Amino acid sequence: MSTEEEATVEVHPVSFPPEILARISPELSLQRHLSLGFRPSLRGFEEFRDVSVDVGTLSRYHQLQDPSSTKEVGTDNHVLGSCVLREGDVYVVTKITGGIIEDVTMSNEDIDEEEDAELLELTEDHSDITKYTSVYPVVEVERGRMGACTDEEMITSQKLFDTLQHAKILPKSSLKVKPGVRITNDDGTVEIIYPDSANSDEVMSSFKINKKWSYVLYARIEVFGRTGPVFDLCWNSLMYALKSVQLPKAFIDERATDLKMTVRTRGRNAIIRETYNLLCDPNDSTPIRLAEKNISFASTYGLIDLDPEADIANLEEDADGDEAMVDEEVKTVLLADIEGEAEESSIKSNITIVSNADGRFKRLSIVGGGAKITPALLAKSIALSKQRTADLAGKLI
Amino acid sequence: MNAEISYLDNVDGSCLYNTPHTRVVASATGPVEPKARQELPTQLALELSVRPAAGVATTREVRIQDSVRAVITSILAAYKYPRQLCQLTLQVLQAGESEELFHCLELAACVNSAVFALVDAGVALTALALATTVALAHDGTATAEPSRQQLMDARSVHTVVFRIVDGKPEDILSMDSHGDFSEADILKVLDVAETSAKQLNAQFRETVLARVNIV
Repeated sequence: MSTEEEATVEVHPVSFPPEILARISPELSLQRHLSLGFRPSLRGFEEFRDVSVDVGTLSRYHQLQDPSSTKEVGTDNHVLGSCVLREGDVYVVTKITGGIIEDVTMSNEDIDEEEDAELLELTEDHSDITKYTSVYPVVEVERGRMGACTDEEMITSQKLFDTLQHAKILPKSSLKVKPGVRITNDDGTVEIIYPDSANSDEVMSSFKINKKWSYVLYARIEVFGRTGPVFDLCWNSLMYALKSVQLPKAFIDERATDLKMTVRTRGRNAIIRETYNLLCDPNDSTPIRLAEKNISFASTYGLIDLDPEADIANLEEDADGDEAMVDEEVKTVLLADIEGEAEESSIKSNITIVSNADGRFKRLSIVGGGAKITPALLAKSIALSKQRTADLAGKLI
Repeated sequence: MNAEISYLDNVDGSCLYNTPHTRVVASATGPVEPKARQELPTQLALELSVRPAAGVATTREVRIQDSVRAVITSILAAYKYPRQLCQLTLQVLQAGESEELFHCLELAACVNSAVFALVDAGVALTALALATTVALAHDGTATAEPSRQQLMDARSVHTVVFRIVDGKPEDILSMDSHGDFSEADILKVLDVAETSAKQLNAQFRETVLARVNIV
């Protein structure tokens, strides 16, 4: 007996602390966690991270809205709307800036219709997609190094652009510039008359402005401390920021409203061109009008098959024999709000849902390839997305 | 839909894919030797590029590329070709939709043509993937393979990719939906898309059979 013992080679099982196992075998680490009923982040399967938002504080209009603050810090920036969103340890900073472009493609018909059509558009249900526009987003995921933008940044930006366009949140009519006129009164005081201000009619009727302008909005979205897919964070942040956008009022100096300029080309051909010098009012602004009912929020879900071999309960039974190897049906679990390297790399099937407060969907993206997406799981994620949207919409002031 | 397999001469597999609205040429080369940075120790690496019908590729094409890649990687038998590379190039000839607003027809055509090209190249696949586009009009009628105008008038547009196993749509590989739709609409769209995918599959088999018979 004793000789036999000497002959056996003693094998020490290699074991790693959980955090090291998570690095060298994320899949196994994730499966072990899931078999215990929670995720590597210690959240439940259907538990979201809490979201806190700080809307509009980076905007140039922020201090102006707060009469108690005497300092006018921040009024020199060009941010029209902003949001700092925190979800778990991830911060997403969205700043919306703008510009003005001349509408060159507008037909005469549009100009005539415009006045009455505006209100209609916002209330009408079946409006045309071409009546809506999007913002131009640039997503930047900070990784502590410089360089060209990554595919993820490009794809997220493009998805945000497309989703906003198709969600029909931002009507083109809301971005029309209605320029005022800066006039110098007889006593030398300078005054700006806007079309919507009182007694504007007589002033405005004396100036005929033939050109049309529109605002364009740009969104710069910076993600700090990325831990998982960023589309839902960026979208939600963009929604809050968009809600806080104030468009500056624009005006033309009265001397410039009917300015005609002679342009000479090749000496002989003289064309008369009108030029306008459109200026933005540094103080006065109007809140942007959005199609409120279409404002929607995004959530992400991952689907993963539980691996019975990684199940800790089976592992313990295995010690007694092979009886644990009963062929069970593969169980698929739904994880809400994917976070962490293990979840992101091991979960191949995921669902992204953008829905509004009425439970209508604006975007649905399913990527299969991993766990099979059954109608039951889809229904479950839809139900969760409705709850999440209700929760996020509640944070909107 | 009709597809002309082995359309190009100097690649391993290719296809000219036509639908009434969209045309895409796909080429597949592989398995070939990868560049060092592309090499994966246990798997086949995939290099995919989508080129637009006009102009240079933008973020829009990167996005289409990403969706096609997600589908193709899940059907490729990548483990059969470790340390090798497969190159897929998809050139859109005709978008068939207004490009600043939509990408769904091109996405579906890119997926289908890529699968044709891979089959033509003889790269091992675990299943087939077939994509179809469905537009849901304001009155609730669902149209598979919509035209440019139907897309513009639609309340929502959906591109659905099915995994085809044993000759029938087995599960959803990808779904990309935009617009305004309800839970019931999703089920309706999946239903219409499945019927459309079955038809596509029948045509697909015919095309491949004709090709195999020539060889």
